[in-house]
Amino acid sequence: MKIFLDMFITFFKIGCLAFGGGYAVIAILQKEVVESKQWVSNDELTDIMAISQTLPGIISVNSATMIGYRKIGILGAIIATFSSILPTFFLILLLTFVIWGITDNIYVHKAFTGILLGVTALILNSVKKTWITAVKHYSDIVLALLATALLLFTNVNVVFILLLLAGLGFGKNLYFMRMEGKINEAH
Amino acid sequence: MKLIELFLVFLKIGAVSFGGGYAMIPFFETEMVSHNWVSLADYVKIIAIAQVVPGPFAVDSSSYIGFKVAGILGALIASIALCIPSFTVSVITTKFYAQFKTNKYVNALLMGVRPAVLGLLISAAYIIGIKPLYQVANTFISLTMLKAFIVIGLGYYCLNQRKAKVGTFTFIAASAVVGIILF
Repeated sequence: MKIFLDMFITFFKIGCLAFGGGYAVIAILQKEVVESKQWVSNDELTDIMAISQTLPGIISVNSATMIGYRKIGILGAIIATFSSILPTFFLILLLTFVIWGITDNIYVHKAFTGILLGVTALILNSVKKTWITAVKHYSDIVLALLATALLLFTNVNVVFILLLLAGLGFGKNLYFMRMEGKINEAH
Repeated sequence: MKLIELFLVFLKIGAVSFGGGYAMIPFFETEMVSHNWVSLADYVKIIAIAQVVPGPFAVDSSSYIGFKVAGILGALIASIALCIPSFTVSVITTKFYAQFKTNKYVNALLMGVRPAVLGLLISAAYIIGIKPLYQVANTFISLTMLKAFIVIGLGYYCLNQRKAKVGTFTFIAASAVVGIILF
């Protein structure tokens, strides 16, 4: 029983501290889950974070689920996931209640415009970071440009675009793998 | 009925969200506009507020949209539905990690989807930074747009210069001040 409560409190705390999105959470997990609780080793955490970023879904939910599951199974996974998003859930609703009335104030509106442009710069920064892992061949640039063009200039449904591009990327990678295999055989 | 609709839509968004938080913005935008749940102008306010709230901002989005549609229960249903795919995939992956790691089909898919994530991120940058201003002004050629592009460019420069490390909080606070002065 104690381990469940412990997991709830630890991931609730991580949820309260997790400013700045998935990547920033790594440092907090290292401190809480590796050093303080010793639920996973540092190597395991590195592995977990790497997988979390490639899987579909929310990075911090992926990592919380994996840590909870490794430590105490499916119930641990549920507790870790639930308690890690609980602070976000309550804080955003509370904050929305408190400040929604003033968001029409001219200065708040201006400040929000500035913040959103700042967020745009943050997104462009993650474009740069993602580019490094996503583009291994010029064909990846073609796929990225195709995705961008479809998303910005057409009304095609975004889920359809993602599935189409994932299919193209999947087929292309399999084709390249096969070609590499043939070259290796020939040598 | 609304709860079921919320559940299904957020389940879908959770299942296709490769590449983390920002890449999910185009999905949220499409769904809330097509269902007439929340306007873009209100949604971007949540993204601004989310900057000072800890945790994944996909959950900020699901909580807010769910709350607007069906109150506190809607917020809960939307957020849980959003997390179910991540949760399921993570449990399965942990179980079969050794097989997954070397499976060429899994690798081809996970690598293959990454260029699309780049497109989603660029689209997200447009939805957050440019589209709200465009909806007000209805033109790309205006002083406001010029200022917006300059602020984005300067922000990007700040994040990538190596002279001083800029924390996220400092960066957001500075952006707010710049917004008050310039707009």
